[in-house]
Amino acid sequence: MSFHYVPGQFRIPKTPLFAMPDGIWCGADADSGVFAFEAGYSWGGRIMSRELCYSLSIDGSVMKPVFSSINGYIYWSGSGYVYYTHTYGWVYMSGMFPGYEPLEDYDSKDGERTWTGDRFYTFHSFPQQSGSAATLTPRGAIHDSGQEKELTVVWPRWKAKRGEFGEYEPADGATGTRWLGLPRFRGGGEYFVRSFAKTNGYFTYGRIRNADGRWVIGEPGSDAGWHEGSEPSREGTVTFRFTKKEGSEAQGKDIAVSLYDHVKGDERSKAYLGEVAVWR
Amino acid sequence: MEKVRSGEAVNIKAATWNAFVDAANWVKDAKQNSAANGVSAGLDVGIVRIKNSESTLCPRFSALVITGVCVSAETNEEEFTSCPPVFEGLKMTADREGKPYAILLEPIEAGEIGRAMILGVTPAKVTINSSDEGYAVPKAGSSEGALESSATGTARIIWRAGGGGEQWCVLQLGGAGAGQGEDKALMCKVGGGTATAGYTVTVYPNGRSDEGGVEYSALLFLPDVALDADIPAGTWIIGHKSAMASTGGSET
Repeated sequence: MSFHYVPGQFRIPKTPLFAMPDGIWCGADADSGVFAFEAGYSWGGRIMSRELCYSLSIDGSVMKPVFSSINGYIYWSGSGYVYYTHTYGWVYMSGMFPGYEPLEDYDSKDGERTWTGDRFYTFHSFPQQSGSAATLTPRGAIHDSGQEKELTVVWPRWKAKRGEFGEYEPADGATGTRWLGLPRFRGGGEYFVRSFAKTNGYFTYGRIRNADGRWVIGEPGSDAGWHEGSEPSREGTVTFRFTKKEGSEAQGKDIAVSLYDHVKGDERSKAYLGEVAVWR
Repeated sequence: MEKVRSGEAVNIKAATWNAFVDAANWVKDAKQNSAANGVSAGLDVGIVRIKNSESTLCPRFSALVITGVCVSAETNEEEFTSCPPVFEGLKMTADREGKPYAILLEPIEAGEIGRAMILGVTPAKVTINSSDEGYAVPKAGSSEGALESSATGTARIIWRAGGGGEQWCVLQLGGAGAGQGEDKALMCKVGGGTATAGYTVTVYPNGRSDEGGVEYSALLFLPDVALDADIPAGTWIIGHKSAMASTGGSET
C-alpha cells in the first residue's frame, strides 16, 4: 500500500493563507511520512508534503509552525518567534515566549523622539505565495536604529500537475517526482488499471498479467491466440505482439499499451477509528 | 397403477393421476437443470475447487484466502457461466484479513487444484487462544495456512477437543459470525504514533480487564483531534474497525 485516506479533520488554530482540509492521504511504505491533500489556491491546489503547513524564513533562517494557539492563531518557532498579538498584530521577536505583548514607547525632547521598549518587528500580512516577501518593520528600542527584514513563506512540496491522482511535480525546494493513484494504461481501445498490491511478486494490469515469467494478454496456448509483451511502464509504450500456436489460423493485431492517467481504484485497507475525549 | 387394454373404460384414480404429475414435473426439472449442466454437475453444495497459488504444498484442513477466480467472465464468459468456478487461493496475510477463505479438504500441491469447503461443516485444527473465543480465522502470516481462535469471524467452532493450544475442532463455515463483533466498540491501548501518521494500538476484544489475554495489534486513527495533541503511550481509546480507501503512490 502506498497511501490510505484518513477521513478526519485535524484541528489547528487559525492559520493565514491555509485551512486544514477534511481528510488527507497518509503515505506508507515508499511514501511514508508524506501527506497528500488540498492545500488551497495559494499553494497550488492539490499538493503532497512532509509538512502539514508552511514554514517561514527570515534572513535565511527557517521557522517551523507550532499548532498551539497564541491569541487564536498558530505561531512559528526558530530563531525567535512569529506570533499574533492584540496590540501590534503579527510580530517577530526573540528572547521572550510567544504570547508576550511587546512594549514600545518614546521620549520626546526638543522635538526629537527617542524610542524605547522591547526589540521586535511587526508586519501586516503574509506573502500571498512562495517567492514573494513581506517587510518586517523594526519597532520599540530598534524603531529607528534597526534594519528592515524580509519574511518569506517556505513549503517544500509537490504540486499536482492535473487533478488529484497522477503526477506531482516538486516546488519550493522539494526534489523528484511523486505519484498518487493507480496508473491506468490504454491500448487497443481497452483500459488496463494496475493492481494495488503484487501477487506472487507481480502487479496485474487488468487483463495484462505475468504468466510464468511472460507478460501476456489472454491465455497462452489458446486456440484463439494471445498477446505477449512486457510490463507496462509509466514511461513509453509497450507493444503486445499477437501470438498463436503453430499451425493456427487465428488472426489478431498487436496492442500498443501506454500510460493514460491515474485513478483512485477501489482498494480498502483495515484500520481502526478511535474516539477520544480530548481535543483542543 | 394398472394398465388398461384397448377398448376398456379408463378409470383414473387420484393416486395414479398424481403419480403422472410427479413424473412430468421430474422431467421438466431435469430439462431445466440440463441448461446449466456444468454448474449443476459440480461438487456438493459448499464445496468448491481451489488452486493453490502458493509455491509450497498446502496441507489438508489448512485455510487459503480466495483471491480470485482462475477463469473470469472477462477471459471466457461461456466457461465462467457454465462451469463450476475454480478459485485462486493464497495464504492469509495482514493485507488479506477479512477476505473470504476456504478450508482445504485434501492436500494440494503448489499450482495444483483441489477440493475445499466454503460452506458447511468440517473438522480442522485450530489454535485456541482463549476458551471464550467461539470462532476460527486463518492466522495471518502462517506459512501452513493455520487457523486460530477469534472473538469474531464466519467460522463458528461448534466443537473442540480441548480448551487451549492447537486442538481438533469441528467448524461450521459460512455466516456463522454474521452480525457479530465487526461493528462493536473495542478497547485499544496506544503504543505509539502521532495524530497524522496514526497510532499503533493493542486491541483487547474482550475488554480492558483482559490485558494479557486475547490481544492483537492494529493501526488506529483519530478523525477529529488537535493536530499537535499526540496521545501518549498507554492511553486507552475506544476503537471501531473501519475500512479506509487505499491507492497507489510512488512505488515502482
